[in-house]
Amino acid sequence: MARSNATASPPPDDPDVRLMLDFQKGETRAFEALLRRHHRGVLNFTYRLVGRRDIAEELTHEAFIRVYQGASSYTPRSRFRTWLYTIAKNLSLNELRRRQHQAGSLDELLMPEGAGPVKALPDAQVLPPDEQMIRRERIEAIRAAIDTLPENQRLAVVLRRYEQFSYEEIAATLNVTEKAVKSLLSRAKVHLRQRLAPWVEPG
Amino acid sequence: MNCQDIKPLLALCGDGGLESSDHLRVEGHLRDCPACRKEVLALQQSWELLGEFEAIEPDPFFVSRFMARVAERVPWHDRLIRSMRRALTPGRTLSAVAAAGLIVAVGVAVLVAHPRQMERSLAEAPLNGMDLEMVETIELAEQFELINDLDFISDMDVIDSLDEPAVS
Repeated sequence: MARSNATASPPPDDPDVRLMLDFQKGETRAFEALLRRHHRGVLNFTYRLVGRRDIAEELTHEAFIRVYQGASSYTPRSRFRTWLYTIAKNLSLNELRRRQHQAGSLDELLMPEGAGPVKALPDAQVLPPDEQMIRRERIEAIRAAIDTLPENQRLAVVLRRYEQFSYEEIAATLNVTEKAVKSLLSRAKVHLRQRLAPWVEPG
Repeated sequence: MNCQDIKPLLALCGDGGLESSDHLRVEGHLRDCPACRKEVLALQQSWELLGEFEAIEPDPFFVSRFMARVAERVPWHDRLIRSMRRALTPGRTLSAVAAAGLIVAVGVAVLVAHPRQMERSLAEAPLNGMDLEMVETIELAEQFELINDLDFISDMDVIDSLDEPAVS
Protein backbone atom coordinates (compact mmCIF):
# COMPACT_ATOMS: atom_id res chain seq x y z
CA MET A 1 0.00 0.00 0.00
CA ALA A 2 1.66 3.17 -1.21
CA ARG A 3 2.12 5.79 1.45
CA SER A 4 1.52 9.35 0.59
CA ASN A 5 1.62 12.73 2.26
CA ALA A 6 -2.07 12.50 2.93
CA THR A 7 -2.03 15.04 5.73
CA ALA A 8 -5.22 16.95 6.12
CA SER A 9 -4.39 20.63 6.40
CA PRO A 10 -5.74 22.16 9.60
CA PRO A 11 -9.11 23.77 9.07
CA PRO A 12 -8.83 27.45 9.92
CA ASP A 13 -11.58 27.17 12.49
CA ASP A 14 -10.27 24.10 14.33
CA PRO A 15 -10.88 25.08 17.97
CA ASP A 16 -8.38 22.47 19.15
CA VAL A 17 -5.60 24.06 17.11
CA ARG A 18 -6.45 27.43 18.67
CA LEU A 19 -6.33 25.89 22.14
CA MET A 20 -2.98 24.32 21.40
CA LEU A 21 -1.58 27.63 20.18
CA ASP A 22 -2.91 29.33 23.31
CA PHE A 23 -1.17 26.70 25.40
CA GLN A 24 2.00 27.34 23.44
CA LYS A 25 1.80 30.95 24.65
CA GLY A 26 1.58 29.75 28.24
CA GLU A 27 -2.16 29.37 28.81
CA THR A 28 -2.24 26.16 30.86
CA ARG A 29 -6.03 26.23 30.97
CA ALA A 30 -6.07 25.78 27.22
CA PHE A 31 -4.27 22.48 27.63
CA GLU A 32 -6.72 21.43 30.33
CA ALA A 33 -9.55 22.15 27.92
CA LEU A 34 -7.91 19.90 25.33
CA LEU A 35 -7.54 17.18 27.95
CA ARG A 36 -11.20 17.37 28.85
CA ARG A 37 -12.26 17.25 25.22
CA HIS A 38 -10.16 14.31 24.16
CA HIS A 39 -9.05 12.10 27.00
CA ARG A 40 -12.13 9.88 26.89
CA GLY A 41 -11.77 9.33 23.15
CA VAL A 42 -8.08 8.55 23.36
CA LEU A 43 -8.63 6.20 26.29
CA ASN A 44 -11.20 4.21 24.36
CA PHE A 45 -9.17 4.26 21.18
CA THR A 46 -6.17 2.76 22.95
CA TYR A 47 -8.38 0.40 24.94
CA ARG A 48 -9.95 -1.01 21.80
CA LEU A 49 -6.52 -1.62 20.37
CA VAL A 50 -4.70 -3.09 23.36
CA GLY A 51 -7.64 -4.65 25.17
CA ARG A 52 -6.58 -3.73 28.72
CA ARG A 53 -7.84 -0.80 30.66
CA ASP A 54 -4.76 -0.34 32.84
CA ILE A 55 -2.47 -0.25 29.81
CA ALA A 56 -4.87 2.00 27.92
CA GLU A 57 -4.76 4.46 30.82
CA GLU A 58 -0.97 4.51 30.78
CA LEU A 59 -0.89 4.98 27.03
CA THR A 60 -3.43 7.79 27.24
CA HIS A 61 -1.39 9.51 29.90
CA GLU A 62 1.77 9.13 27.83
CA ALA A 63 0.07 10.46 24.71
CA PHE A 64 -0.94 13.66 26.47
CA ILE A 65 2.48 13.97 28.07
CA ARG A 66 3.94 14.02 24.58
CA VAL A 67 1.47 16.63 23.47
CA TYR A 68 2.28 18.72 26.54
CA GLN A 69 6.01 18.48 26.00
CA GLY A 70 5.69 19.02 22.26
CA ALA A 71 3.86 22.30 22.69
CA SER A 72 6.90 24.52 22.31
CA SER A 73 7.60 23.17 18.83
CA TYR A 74 3.97 22.60 17.78
CA THR A 75 3.15 23.72 14.25
CA PRO A 76 -0.40 22.97 13.08
CA ARG A 77 -0.04 20.98 9.89
CA SER A 78 -3.24 18.99 10.35
CA ARG A 79 -6.23 18.85 12.60
CA PHE A 80 -5.14 18.61 16.23
CA ARG A 81 -7.13 15.40 16.65
CA THR A 82 -5.20 13.79 13.82
CA TRP A 83 -1.89 14.61 15.50
CA LEU A 84 -3.11 13.43 18.90
CA TYR A 85 -4.44 10.13 17.61
CA THR A 86 -1.31 9.52 15.59
CA ILE A 87 0.65 9.72 18.81
CA ALA A 88 -1.81 7.40 20.55
CA LYS A 89 -1.73 5.00 17.61
CA ASN A 90 2.05 4.78 17.64
CA LEU A 91 2.13 4.20 21.38
CA SER A 92 -0.51 1.48 21.08
CA LEU A 93 1.25 -0.29 18.25
CA ASN A 94 4.52 -0.19 20.15
CA GLU A 95 2.76 -1.79 23.09
CA LEU A 96 1.23 -4.49 20.90
CA ARG A 97 4.59 -5.26 19.31
CA ARG A 98 6.25 -5.36 22.69
CA ARG A 99 3.64 -7.84 23.89
CA GLN A 100 3.96 -9.84 20.70
CA HIS A 101 7.65 -10.09 21.31
CA GLN A 102 7.07 -11.24 24.87
CA ALA A 103 4.03 -13.44 24.23
CA GLY A 104 4.61 -17.18 24.34
CA SER A 105 1.60 -17.90 22.21
CA LEU A 106 -0.82 -16.17 19.94
CA ASP A 107 -3.57 -16.79 22.49
CA GLU A 108 -1.63 -14.86 25.10
CA LEU A 109 -1.24 -11.99 22.69
CA LEU A 110 -4.92 -11.91 21.78
CA MET A 111 -6.33 -12.60 25.22
CA PRO A 112 -7.09 -9.29 26.88
CA GLU A 113 -8.65 -8.98 30.28
CA GLY A 114 -11.57 -11.36 29.91
CA ALA A 115 -14.75 -10.01 28.40
CA GLY A 116 -13.82 -6.57 29.61
CA PRO A 117 -16.14 -4.10 31.25
CA VAL A 118 -19.74 -4.62 30.32
CA LYS A 119 -21.74 -1.51 30.96
CA ALA A 120 -24.56 -2.10 33.40
CA LEU A 121 -27.89 -1.79 31.68
CA PRO A 122 -30.48 0.61 33.05
CA ASP A 123 -32.95 -1.05 35.39
CA ALA A 124 -35.66 -1.19 32.74
CA GLN A 125 -33.34 -3.22 30.53
CA VAL A 126 -31.95 -5.70 33.03
CA LEU A 127 -31.63 -9.02 31.30
CA PRO A 128 -32.20 -12.45 32.75
CA PRO A 129 -28.94 -14.19 33.72
CA ASP A 130 -28.77 -16.41 30.64
CA GLU A 131 -29.22 -13.41 28.34
CA GLN A 132 -26.60 -11.51 30.28
CA MET A 133 -24.20 -14.37 29.63
CA ILE A 134 -25.06 -14.35 25.93
CA ARG A 135 -24.48 -10.60 25.84
CA ARG A 136 -21.06 -11.06 27.45
CA GLU A 137 -20.14 -13.74 24.96
CA ARG A 138 -21.28 -11.56 22.07
CA ILE A 139 -19.11 -8.69 23.29
CA GLU A 140 -16.18 -11.04 23.66
CA ALA A 141 -16.73 -12.26 20.12
CA ILE A 142 -16.73 -8.67 18.87
CA ARG A 143 -13.47 -7.94 20.68
CA ALA A 144 -11.89 -11.07 19.28
CA ALA A 145 -13.08 -10.27 15.76
CA ILE A 146 -11.49 -6.82 15.95
CA ASP A 147 -8.32 -8.26 17.47
CA THR A 148 -7.86 -10.68 14.60
CA LEU A 149 -7.90 -7.91 12.01
CA PRO A 150 -4.56 -6.95 10.50
CA GLU A 151 -3.07 -3.89 12.14
CA ASN A 152 -4.10 -1.19 9.67
CA GLN A 153 -7.58 -2.63 9.18
CA ARG A 154 -8.06 -2.66 12.94
CA LEU A 155 -6.96 0.95 13.21
CA ALA A 156 -9.26 2.00 10.39
CA VAL A 157 -12.23 0.20 11.96
CA VAL A 158 -11.69 1.65 15.42
CA LEU A 159 -11.22 5.17 14.10
CA ARG A 160 -14.22 4.99 11.77
CA ARG A 161 -16.69 3.03 13.86
CA TYR A 162 -15.93 4.36 17.34
CA GLU A 163 -14.27 7.75 16.87
CA GLN A 164 -16.25 8.79 13.77
CA PHE A 165 -13.14 9.88 11.93
CA SER A 166 -13.67 10.93 8.32
CA TYR A 167 -11.84 9.06 5.56
CA GLU A 168 -9.56 12.05 5.26
CA GLU A 169 -8.72 12.00 8.96
CA ILE A 170 -8.09 8.27 8.95
CA ALA A 171 -5.82 8.67 5.95
CA ALA A 172 -3.83 11.38 7.73
CA THR A 173 -3.58 9.38 10.95
CA LEU A 174 -2.45 6.21 9.20
CA ASN A 175 -0.37 8.09 6.65
CA VAL A 176 -2.08 6.45 3.68
CA THR A 177 -4.36 7.65 0.89
CA GLU A 178 -8.13 7.92 1.20
CA LYS A 179 -8.45 5.21 -1.41
CA ALA A 180 -6.32 2.96 0.77
CA VAL A 181 -8.56 3.70 3.74
CA LYS A 182 -11.64 2.64 1.79
CA SER A 183 -9.90 -0.53 0.75
CA LEU A 184 -8.89 -1.26 4.37
CA LEU A 185 -12.42 -0.70 5.61
CA SER A 186 -13.96 -2.75 2.85
CA ARG A 187 -11.77 -5.76 3.61
CA ALA A 188 -12.20 -5.30 7.36
CA LYS A 189 -15.98 -5.28 7.07
CA VAL A 190 -15.97 -8.50 5.04
CA HIS A 191 -13.74 -10.13 7.65
CA LEU A 192 -15.97 -8.92 10.49
CA ARG A 193 -19.08 -10.10 8.75
CA GLN A 194 -17.65 -13.58 8.49
CA ARG A 195 -16.46 -13.66 12.11
CA LEU A 196 -19.69 -12.25 13.53
CA ALA A 197 -22.13 -14.15 11.32
CA PRO A 198 -23.33 -16.35 14.24
CA TRP A 199 -24.25 -13.25 16.23
CA VAL A 200 -26.08 -11.35 13.56
CA GLU A 201 -29.85 -11.62 13.41
CA PRO A 202 -30.85 -13.30 10.14
CA GLY A 203 -32.29 -10.71 7.79
CA MET B 1 -21.55 -5.74 -13.71
CA ASN B 2 -21.36 -9.15 -11.96
CA CYS B 3 -21.32 -10.00 -8.26
CA GLN B 4 -17.52 -10.48 -8.13
CA ASP B 5 -16.98 -6.95 -9.44
CA ILE B 6 -19.54 -5.49 -7.07
CA LYS B 7 -18.44 -7.28 -3.90
CA PRO B 8 -15.53 -4.97 -2.96
CA LEU B 9 -17.96 -2.04 -3.19
CA LEU B 10 -20.75 -3.53 -1.11
CA ALA B 11 -18.97 -2.94 2.18
CA LEU B 12 -18.88 0.81 1.52
CA CYS B 13 -22.59 1.09 0.84
CA GLY B 14 -24.34 3.38 3.26
CA ASP B 15 -21.03 4.61 4.68
CA GLY B 16 -20.45 7.51 2.33
CA GLY B 17 -17.46 5.73 0.87
CA LEU B 18 -18.66 5.24 -2.69
CA GLU B 19 -18.02 7.62 -5.54
CA SER B 20 -21.27 8.73 -7.14
CA SER B 21 -20.60 6.67 -10.30
CA ASP B 22 -19.96 3.52 -8.23
CA HIS B 23 -23.00 4.26 -6.15
CA LEU B 24 -25.20 4.19 -9.24
CA ARG B 25 -23.70 0.92 -10.46
CA VAL B 26 -24.13 -0.76 -7.08
CA GLU B 27 -27.70 0.44 -6.75
CA GLY B 28 -28.47 -0.89 -10.20
CA HIS B 29 -26.97 -4.29 -9.39
CA LEU B 30 -28.71 -4.61 -6.03
CA ARG B 31 -32.07 -4.03 -7.67
CA ASP B 32 -31.62 -7.30 -9.55
CA CYS B 33 -29.51 -9.41 -7.17
CA PRO B 34 -31.08 -10.70 -3.94
CA ALA B 35 -27.83 -12.44 -2.91
CA CYS B 36 -25.92 -9.17 -2.95
CA ARG B 37 -28.77 -7.42 -1.17
CA LYS B 38 -28.52 -10.03 1.57
CA GLU B 39 -24.74 -9.55 1.71
CA VAL B 40 -25.12 -5.78 2.08
CA LEU B 41 -27.57 -6.28 4.92
CA ALA B 42 -25.24 -8.73 6.71
CA LEU B 43 -22.32 -6.32 6.32
CA GLN B 44 -24.34 -3.48 7.78
CA GLN B 45 -25.61 -5.58 10.67
CA SER B 46 -22.17 -6.79 11.71
CA TRP B 47 -20.91 -3.19 11.47
CA GLU B 48 -23.75 -2.09 13.74
CA LEU B 49 -23.02 -4.96 16.12
CA LEU B 50 -19.62 -3.45 16.84
CA GLY B 51 -21.47 -0.84 18.86
CA GLU B 52 -22.00 -3.38 21.63
CA PHE B 53 -18.31 -3.10 22.42
CA GLU B 54 -19.07 -0.14 24.56
CA ALA B 55 -16.85 2.68 25.66
CA ILE B 56 -15.20 2.70 29.05
CA GLU B 57 -15.43 5.74 31.25
CA PRO B 58 -12.24 7.46 32.31
CA ASP B 59 -11.22 8.12 35.86
CA PRO B 60 -13.18 11.25 36.89
CA PHE B 61 -9.98 12.72 38.35
CA PHE B 62 -7.86 12.05 35.28
CA VAL B 63 -7.47 15.70 34.33
CA SER B 64 -6.53 16.99 37.77
CA ARG B 65 -4.17 14.07 38.38
CA PHE B 66 -2.54 14.58 35.02
CA MET B 67 -1.97 18.30 35.61
CA ALA B 68 -0.52 17.58 39.04
CA ARG B 69 1.84 14.92 37.70
CA VAL B 70 2.92 17.01 34.75
CA ALA B 71 3.77 19.92 37.04
CA GLU B 72 6.22 17.62 38.80
CA ARG B 73 7.79 16.51 35.54
CA VAL B 74 8.17 19.85 33.80
CA PRO B 75 11.64 21.31 34.51
CA TRP B 76 11.59 24.53 36.53
CA HIS B 77 13.06 26.53 33.66
CA ASP B 78 10.25 25.42 31.32
CA ARG B 79 7.70 26.58 33.88
CA LEU B 80 9.52 29.90 34.19
CA ILE B 81 9.58 30.38 30.43
CA ARG B 82 5.86 29.63 30.19
CA SER B 83 5.10 32.11 32.96
CA MET B 84 7.15 34.75 31.20
CA ARG B 85 5.41 34.03 27.91
CA ARG B 86 2.09 34.35 29.63
CA ALA B 87 3.11 37.66 31.17
CA LEU B 88 4.48 39.00 27.91
CA THR B 89 1.54 38.34 25.64
CA PRO B 90 0.92 41.43 23.40
CA GLY B 91 -1.93 42.84 25.45
CA ARG B 92 -0.17 42.31 28.72
CA THR B 93 3.21 43.56 27.50
CA LEU B 94 1.80 47.00 26.84
CA SER B 95 0.27 47.15 30.31
CA ALA B 96 3.47 45.87 31.91
CA VAL B 97 5.60 48.47 30.12
CA ALA B 98 3.20 51.26 31.03
CA ALA B 99 3.15 50.16 34.66
CA ALA B 100 6.93 49.92 34.78
CA GLY B 101 7.24 53.38 33.25
CA LEU B 102 4.89 54.85 35.81
CA ILE B 103 6.81 53.25 38.66
CA VAL B 104 10.09 54.61 37.32
CA ALA B 105 8.63 58.08 36.91
CA VAL B 106 7.25 58.13 40.43
CA GLY B 107 10.54 56.81 41.80
CA VAL B 108 12.57 59.48 40.05
CA ALA B 109 10.22 62.17 41.25
CA VAL B 110 10.56 60.98 44.83
CA LEU B 111 14.34 60.75 44.61
CA VAL B 112 14.62 64.24 43.19
CA ALA B 113 12.25 65.79 45.67
CA HIS B 114 13.26 63.87 48.76
CA PRO B 115 16.86 65.12 49.50
CA ARG B 116 15.77 68.79 49.36
CA GLN B 117 12.86 67.96 51.53
CA MET B 118 15.17 66.30 53.98
CA GLU B 119 17.58 69.21 54.09
CA ARG B 120 14.75 71.63 54.61
CA SER B 121 13.41 69.55 57.43
CA LEU B 122 16.74 69.45 59.19
CA ALA B 123 17.37 73.13 58.82
CA GLU B 124 13.98 74.14 59.98
CA ALA B 125 13.31 71.61 62.71
CA PRO B 126 14.16 73.04 66.18
CA LEU B 127 16.31 70.74 68.29
CA ASN B 128 14.85 69.76 71.60
CA GLY B 129 16.93 69.04 74.70
CA MET B 130 17.58 65.41 73.93
CA ASP B 131 18.48 66.08 70.31
CA LEU B 132 20.85 68.81 71.28
CA GLU B 133 22.62 66.60 73.77
CA MET B 134 22.94 63.93 71.07
CA VAL B 135 24.45 66.35 68.59
CA GLU B 136 26.95 67.59 71.20
CA THR B 137 27.91 63.99 72.01
CA ILE B 138 28.46 63.25 68.34
CA GLU B 139 30.62 66.34 67.97
CA LEU B 140 32.58 65.34 71.02
CA ALA B 141 33.11 61.84 69.64
CA GLU B 142 34.37 63.27 66.39
CA GLN B 143 36.80 65.46 68.33
CA PHE B 144 37.82 62.49 70.41
CA GLU B 145 38.84 60.54 67.31
CA LEU B 146 40.90 63.45 66.20
CA ILE B 147 42.54 63.67 69.60
CA ASN B 148 43.37 59.98 69.52
CA ASP B 149 45.18 60.43 66.25
CA LEU B 150 47.32 63.29 67.50
CA ASP B 151 50.74 63.12 68.96
CA PHE B 152 50.00 64.76 72.33
CA ILE B 153 53.16 66.78 72.76
CA SER B 154 53.81 67.97 69.22
CA ASP B 155 50.27 68.94 68.49
CA MET B 156 49.40 70.86 71.65
CA ASP B 157 48.40 73.92 69.68
CA VAL B 158 45.90 71.79 67.82
CA ILE B 159 44.43 70.67 71.08
CA ASP B 160 44.27 74.18 72.35
CA SER B 161 42.51 75.31 69.23
CA LEU B 162 39.76 72.76 69.78
CA ASP B 163 38.53 74.77 72.73
CA GLU B 164 38.27 77.95 70.74
CA PRO B 165 34.81 78.85 69.47
CA ALA B 166 34.34 78.03 65.75
CA VAL B 167 34.46 81.01 63.39
CA SER B 168 31.12 81.11 61.52
